[in-house]
Amino acid sequence: MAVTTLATGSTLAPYSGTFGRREAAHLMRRTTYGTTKARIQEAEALGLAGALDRLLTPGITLPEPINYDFEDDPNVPIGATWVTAPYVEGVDVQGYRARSLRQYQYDSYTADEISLSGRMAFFWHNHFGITENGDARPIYRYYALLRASATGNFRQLIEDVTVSEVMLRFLNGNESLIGNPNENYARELLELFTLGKGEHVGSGDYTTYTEDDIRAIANALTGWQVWYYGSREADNQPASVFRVNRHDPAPRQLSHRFGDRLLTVVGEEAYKEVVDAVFAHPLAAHYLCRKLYRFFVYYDIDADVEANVIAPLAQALVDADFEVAPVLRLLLGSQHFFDITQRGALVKCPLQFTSDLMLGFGFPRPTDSLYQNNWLTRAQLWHMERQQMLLRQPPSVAGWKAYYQAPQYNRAWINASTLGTRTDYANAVVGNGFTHQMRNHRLDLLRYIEDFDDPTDPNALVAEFAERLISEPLDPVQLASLKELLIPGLPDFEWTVEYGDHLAHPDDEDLANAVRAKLQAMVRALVTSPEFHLF
Amino acid sequence: MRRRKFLAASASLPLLFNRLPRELASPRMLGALGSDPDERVLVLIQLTGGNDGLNTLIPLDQYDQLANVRPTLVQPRSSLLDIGGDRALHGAFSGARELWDAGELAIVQDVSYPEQNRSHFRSTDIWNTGSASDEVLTTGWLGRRFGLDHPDYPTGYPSAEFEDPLAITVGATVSETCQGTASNFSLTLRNPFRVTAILEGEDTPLPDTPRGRELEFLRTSVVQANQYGATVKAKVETGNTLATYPEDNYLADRLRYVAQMISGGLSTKVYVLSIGGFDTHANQIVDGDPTTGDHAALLKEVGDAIAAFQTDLKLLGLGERVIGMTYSEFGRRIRENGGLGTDHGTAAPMFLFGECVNAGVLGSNPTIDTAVDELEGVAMQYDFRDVYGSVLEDWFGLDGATVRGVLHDEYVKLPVLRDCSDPISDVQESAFAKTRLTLAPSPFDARAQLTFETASAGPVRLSVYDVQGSLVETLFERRLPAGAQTVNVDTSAYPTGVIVFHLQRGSEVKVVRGVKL
Repeated sequence: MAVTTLATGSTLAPYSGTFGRREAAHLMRRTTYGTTKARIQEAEALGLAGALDRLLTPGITLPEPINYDFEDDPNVPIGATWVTAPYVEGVDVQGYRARSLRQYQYDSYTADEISLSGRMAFFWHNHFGITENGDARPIYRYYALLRASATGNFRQLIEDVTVSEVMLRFLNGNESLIGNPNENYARELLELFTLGKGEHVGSGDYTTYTEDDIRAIANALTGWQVWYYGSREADNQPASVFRVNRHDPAPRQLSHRFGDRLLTVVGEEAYKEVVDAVFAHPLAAHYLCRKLYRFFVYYDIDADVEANVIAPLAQALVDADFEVAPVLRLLLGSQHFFDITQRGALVKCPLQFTSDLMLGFGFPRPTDSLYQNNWLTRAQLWHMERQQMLLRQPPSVAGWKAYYQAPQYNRAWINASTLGTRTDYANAVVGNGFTHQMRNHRLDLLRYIEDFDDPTDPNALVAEFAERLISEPLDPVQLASLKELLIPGLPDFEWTVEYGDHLAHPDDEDLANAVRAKLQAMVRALVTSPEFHLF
Repeated sequence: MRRRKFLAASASLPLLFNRLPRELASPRMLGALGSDPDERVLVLIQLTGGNDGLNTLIPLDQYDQLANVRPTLVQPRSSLLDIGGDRALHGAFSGARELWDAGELAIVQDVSYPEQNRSHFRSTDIWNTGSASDEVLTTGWLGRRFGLDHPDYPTGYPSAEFEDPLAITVGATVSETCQGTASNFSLTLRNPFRVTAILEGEDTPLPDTPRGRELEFLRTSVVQANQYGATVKAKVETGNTLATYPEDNYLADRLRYVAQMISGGLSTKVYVLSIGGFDTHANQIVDGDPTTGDHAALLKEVGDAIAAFQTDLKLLGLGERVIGMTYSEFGRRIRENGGLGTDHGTAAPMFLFGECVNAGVLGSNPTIDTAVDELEGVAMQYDFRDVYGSVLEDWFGLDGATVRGVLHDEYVKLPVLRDCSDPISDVQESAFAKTRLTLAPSPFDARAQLTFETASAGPVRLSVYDVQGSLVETLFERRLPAGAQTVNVDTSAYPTGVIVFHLQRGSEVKVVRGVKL
């Protein structure tokens, strides 16, 4: 196939075309995880403006993570939260808190219906690339911060993250002191979190900033420590603390890349002046807008997209004083976003792939056992790890390669190994489910099709499955072969008869199993198809 | 950007040289190497995280200084495995010692690149793509090599002629060393015995849109995974393994798969494996016992795994077909960090193993100053692209010009491989025989003088690096006659602190370190 660069000609002008089922589905798939029929119908009923309003409304308030299963924490009974509970001498409370934190993190991305809180919380998780496995309390606060700030102010988020306990630990800010400044955070702040590294045009000059700027900023950020990490006293909660005797009070000269600005604020507020200087930089918005574009639209940014999409988005971000919500509204409500050629072309990340199956199918959750319920979530996370995404642990401070590594970008999720683990997983979700300690959790496809428009007609049934599961319409040849899996070599009415028989005798397990097996064969083909990896 | 300045610094330098010295010509024709070039296999082992070279290959002539700057980390002298030449291996790296004793280990000292980046991901990209530090490449160094022979890949692959994957990554993430222009040349497999068949779907027409392109990529990936997967599975099941591999050894398990795949008849040319954990900022040792801890465990795992693998290859009669090579994104700082670990540094040794490696150590021991700067890493002696290039040239049969195209224009072949049908030869006499590169005065201020001696005429490059391995300047790059050389350098514009002068003549490197006041 000849591949040419596509000049769509579409711009950020507001989308004014039809907002029907397919457009609503495109919007929901790109902005939420585990899209369901009900969610798409709701978005369609809201209309584009209404759906965008809802998307930019904060999602549900998540309960604090709880102790699911550990009986020996004297301060935290099962079912209660541990987020301010001390560590305990001689008792390993870290294990259950880590298990609980996994649940919280997964929920913080996937718990919403129509809201960008979850998806943007994940965006920031990838953006800051923090891997932290220590004291669960500040990690919880960090995940909560990302969710609370998900569509908020970018500059404020950078400020908050700069002095958060986990970032101070992750990039060694807590070890940075006068006379021995640690440059790790200053470097990543500029290179990965805000400006991006431009062309290396001279000794230590990366166009957007210089090595001297890194040193100046590192000096300004000296003096921070993290206290009471892992503390065993309830009064001593882990906290970021500014220590003036560790702080370098000398003024810091930034380069011409920052207009030769002199940083003069000394003390605990010095970091705010640093963030202010970074956001006064003429390119403060471009790097983030490119990342948002790759996250929501497509990875290929050609000159046309750079000029007609990225540049105006960046201007909008500056005009909005770095509020992210207006920029998301502009992008997600644009002609370009709904351009037919831009749809269905992103490869699902493991979070999307697994949640589209689990949540999209409404996989039943155990309600009688906190432990089994939590285990089922952890099983999803384990499968995501096999698909090369270990949540909470991006492979580097730059995040997952799918979001920055040219030329593959999101194709990086796909290789022979992950295709295998994705296939195994999809087969488990629609087939034998997940088993732990002799207890099996599985989906009943017969229940799932109860709300289909016409499950008794095999053509309608296959068409609705395809519409629900695959982001763009399938070819008639593909639909025909799916139907062939449902009723191999038989006329259409045989499905109507067999399924009708089951409906008439719902307690007859033999009948149910026979129909279920055919459904499974067809659905497996759909969820393991190449098309299912795209959205 | 690099500044390159040609200095006519010494009156003793003649202006014209018209003969290329004989020893710079390729020492051996490729076909003379023992095995058929088409059957040769490279096993690449990535030590992810930045291996601490100074705790792997220990310079015994610098032992006291090392103990001074690494008071808690330094290995007890009695635990070290002496390999002669004032060098020793870490006591836990006994597997490498076995290979050394068998004449099957080549070590290249202090490998890095000019302008070491010290960022994990950027430096890993540089090593994987084979780029310069100020250059971003989107293809891997092996991917470009495969691209020469297979420009249309993946279209039409697998084929009757190439039914096996060209490269295999044993693990879960595809290796960027094998990234080509259109797609990655390596098949990624966790376990060659367990390959999941993936549904291929219908081959319906695809539109020329982003979605069409992604779907085409997916379909091709699925078809290849299935076809290659089935072929690999069928062949590996006929393969054999005859050695005893260490238990609970992640790398050994994967190397055994590789031995089974090669012996099963796969014509795959490259296998890529990786082992993580080398980012030893902390817990490099157990407090009070430097012979234990994370780094010792890693060296034991790697050493034991490659020793068993090499034993297996010999028992399988595959010794002349396979070489192995380790790499890591950077070495670590010379001074320990005070937290039972070491921070990101500059250069570290690379290890090549197999019957066809030119056993021995290339390069001299690093010099360790007890007043070493906190930021200082081990200075680079060899550019990693020259090691890669030598493998491409001597193992995979590329000529020098092609290697330059794949890697870099300044490629210099290093004698890391040999004709394995020959008995082991003596180490070639150094072109810098008997003379060290010397610097005076030290410390220096606005001027410094370098002296060295060349045994015969040949091209020489003299470069200057700062404490973090950034290139300050290249003083000259030209042919010099045999004899004593003196170079006067204007150092007035150099950054204060540690300065490293790096002299390279073919595969010979001399390094001298001084302090600019």
